[in-house]
Amino acid sequence: MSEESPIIGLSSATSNQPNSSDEFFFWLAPGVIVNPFDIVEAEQIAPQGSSRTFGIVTTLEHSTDAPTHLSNFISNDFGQVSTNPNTVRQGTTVARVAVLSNDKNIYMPVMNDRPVRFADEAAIHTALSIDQIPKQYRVPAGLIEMSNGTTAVVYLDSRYLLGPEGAHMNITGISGLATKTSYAIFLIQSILQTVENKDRIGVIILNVKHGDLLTIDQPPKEELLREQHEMWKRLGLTPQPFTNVRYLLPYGKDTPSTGRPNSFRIPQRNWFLYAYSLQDTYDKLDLLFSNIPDPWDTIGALIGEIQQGLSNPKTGLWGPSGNWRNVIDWDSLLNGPPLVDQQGRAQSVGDVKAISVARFRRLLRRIVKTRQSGIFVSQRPHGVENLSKEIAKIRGGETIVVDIARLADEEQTLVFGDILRTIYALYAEEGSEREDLPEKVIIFVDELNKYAPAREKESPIIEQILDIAERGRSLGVILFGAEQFMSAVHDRVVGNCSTLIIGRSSSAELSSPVYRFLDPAVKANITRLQKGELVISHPIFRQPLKLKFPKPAYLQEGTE
Amino acid sequence: MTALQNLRWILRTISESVEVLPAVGGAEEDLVHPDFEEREDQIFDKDDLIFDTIFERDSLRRMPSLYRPVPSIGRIEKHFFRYFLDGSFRSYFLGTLLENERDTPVHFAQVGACTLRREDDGTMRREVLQMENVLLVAKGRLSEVLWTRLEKLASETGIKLVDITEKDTISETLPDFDLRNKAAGKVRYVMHSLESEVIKEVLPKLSEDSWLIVDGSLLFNPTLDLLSKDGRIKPVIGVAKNFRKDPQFVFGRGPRAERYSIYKLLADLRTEHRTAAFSARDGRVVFWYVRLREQKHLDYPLMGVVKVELVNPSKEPVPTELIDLISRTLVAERSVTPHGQDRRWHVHLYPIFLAECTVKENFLSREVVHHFLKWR
Repeated sequence: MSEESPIIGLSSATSNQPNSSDEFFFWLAPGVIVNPFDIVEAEQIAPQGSSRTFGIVTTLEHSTDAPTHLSNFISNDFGQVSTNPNTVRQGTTVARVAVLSNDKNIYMPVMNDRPVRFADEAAIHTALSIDQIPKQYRVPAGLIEMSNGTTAVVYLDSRYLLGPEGAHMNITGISGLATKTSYAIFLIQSILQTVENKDRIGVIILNVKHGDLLTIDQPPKEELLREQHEMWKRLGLTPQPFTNVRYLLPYGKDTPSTGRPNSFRIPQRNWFLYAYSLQDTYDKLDLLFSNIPDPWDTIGALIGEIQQGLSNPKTGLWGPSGNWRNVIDWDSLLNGPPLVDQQGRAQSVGDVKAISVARFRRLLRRIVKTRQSGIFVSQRPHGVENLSKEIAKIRGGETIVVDIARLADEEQTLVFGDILRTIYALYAEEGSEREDLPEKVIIFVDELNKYAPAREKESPIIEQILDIAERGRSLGVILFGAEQFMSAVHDRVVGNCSTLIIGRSSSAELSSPVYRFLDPAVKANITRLQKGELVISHPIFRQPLKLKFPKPAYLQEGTE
Repeated sequence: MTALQNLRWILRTISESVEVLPAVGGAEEDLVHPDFEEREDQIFDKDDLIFDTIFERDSLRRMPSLYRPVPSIGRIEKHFFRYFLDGSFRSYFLGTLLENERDTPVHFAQVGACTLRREDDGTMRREVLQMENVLLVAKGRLSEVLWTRLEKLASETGIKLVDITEKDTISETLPDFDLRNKAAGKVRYVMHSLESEVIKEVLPKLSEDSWLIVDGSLLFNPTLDLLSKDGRIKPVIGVAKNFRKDPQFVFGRGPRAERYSIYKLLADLRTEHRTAAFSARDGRVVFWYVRLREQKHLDYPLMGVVKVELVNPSKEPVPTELIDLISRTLVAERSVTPHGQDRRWHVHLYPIFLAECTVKENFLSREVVHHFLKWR
């Protein structure tokens, strides 16, 4: 027992609220301030001497000896609001504590009247089993700040974050308040600075809104505040922007005339354009149609016909032949044979009837012609890259940012699906034989619910994400997803995330079954989290924790 | 628990030599009569029935009117009452001892008295707590040998042995044929004696600005003698929630004298008012009534009124200003109330209630007593 730490209360067991092996109660000494998520330790029996039972405060309740509110009303001279009671009514604040662990593995209920203290950092590490994580696997995830001013660094076990024991992370919370992107970037920085084989980790970040992530290799214009610096230092990390970053920016309609990518802002250096010609896309057309209902698989069948027709049967690569020999770009696919006859009417292809072909043409025309952002080109000009090939060049220690912020929904799905498919193929199909292939690739994408929505059971993009979610752990492909509402994300995707981060969320969202692992008291606390505060659930912690983390040290939009 | 272990040992030892009829379940809790306080008021002051002497004078030596307004003075304005004393007990009938033709009930009681101190911020601290474990048997119903043996066993184990039939001011009024009832009176006597000891312990800490409220009457001896020493008024008052309803009050002299029953006296007593202080025991004690709560909030006109006693060793009329100050600060004690926890909430002072709770919290639980006390 840490003798220097003052006793803040005594454990309390009553006939109505007994202590158990999972929780205990303690009353607070007058003047003591305790908040939910504070970690405390209670004296516990042991075969020799005593042991410590650690727990996390979940709720605090103040009760008095007044049996009803009417008693208090009457006590105040029958409702006189200005009355000053002569004697303070007997009352106490009682904290409910969820048991985390015991330092001697004794899970007997805490006895009555046992001293309770705030845990210090070493005790917090014991309580959370952080002391059991070998140093090389520790990833700083943030700081616990307790009511008595004690802070403790919380480490995640990289074996449960990046595989092989567990993998993937999901961040959810209200936009703006939950700081989801900031936390994901912070955690990636933390991984890249601390993990043993950090030079063998590649990172792919999708920039989905504004120019948020297009300057991650630039330092902020203004120095970080002192307390931010101290938080970085406390975590054992250096506040520095990313190094070795490659930006892949989309080709736009104006790019031929301006030379500028279709992005909200342009990185200072090391950026490349990407675009999709038919040749780049013919084997990914299914991704383009991910959001189109196809209950009878007619579009799927036609896409199969097209892929077969446009690929060389011997190599499996691009090579239109037979009826498809004249299909060389989007226009010729949409307006020429074999989809269209000489009169310009849709005609049947294979088993797909003409009417379905006509529907396919309408949809495809809308996606790649009418409503497209400029990413679909007849032929990629010189210097404009094939995204899939660029992604496949990923190296350990490198971060690739792919900008999709200004793309249409179908285009975003194509790009994200293309990245997943490329990476998955690199690891699952080719194996990890290439020497320069990173041991692990972290893919971060915001608005995950757009790609893996809860309401749909299957689509090409969902299948791709599920492949990663379910098999990525062993392959070394790690998905960091974020979204406003976890309830809107496919349950198998969330279910495969070993680490869940929850920022400020509304009570309506928290009533969804996906949050049933959270105690009601924790849910209530999540509704009032501040900016920069998050609740984290990680396999090695028995209970969710509240964390603070520093601002990432790179140039963010709005700070210019 | 040591007390119970000792007691069990005593019971076992005795049961080896005499026949025992154990109580149901080993120990049967004695019921407490809530109105015993009123009865005690009659017992302590049985000779006085008509009170005609108003025993207070203001600074101009004038006699006050029958009713006086006493608006509340709260703790923040003047922290006058700082100590609060109450006693409590819990007693059990353990069985009947049969020794030849004679028999006696055997009772076990835990008796306690506690004084709480109120800090300037309104919070309470325990100042003094005294507890006693008492074994009660009727000495006259046992042989000398057995009584002596009991005395020896009790003295060895720190348990107070009390003779139920011994005369005292409370139990002497109870009939001899019902020894169990008499035992209840005896336990109250022991409790009041303990209270008296606690008053003695607290007395040096009191001052003109730091008064003690005792729950109930101060007419019990040795309390009355203790507070009558050296001719000065001690900063102690007794506040009775229940009081006798048979006295008559006479206000004025001669043909214009007005006679009041207590009902009439108190029915006309408005809230935050007090009656004039009357003399009892030839002026050795003055008492008056204070209405703490408005009648409209209560069921019965006599509810919400407390009787206040002040020991007056000089037997000279007490200054009206002092009685006013006591009454005004007492009115402020109506907030907080133990409403919902005690049916006498309208007259129960919360700090006194807390003192009572403190004592009760220190009793052994009923379950423990029931299951631990075995004759064999």
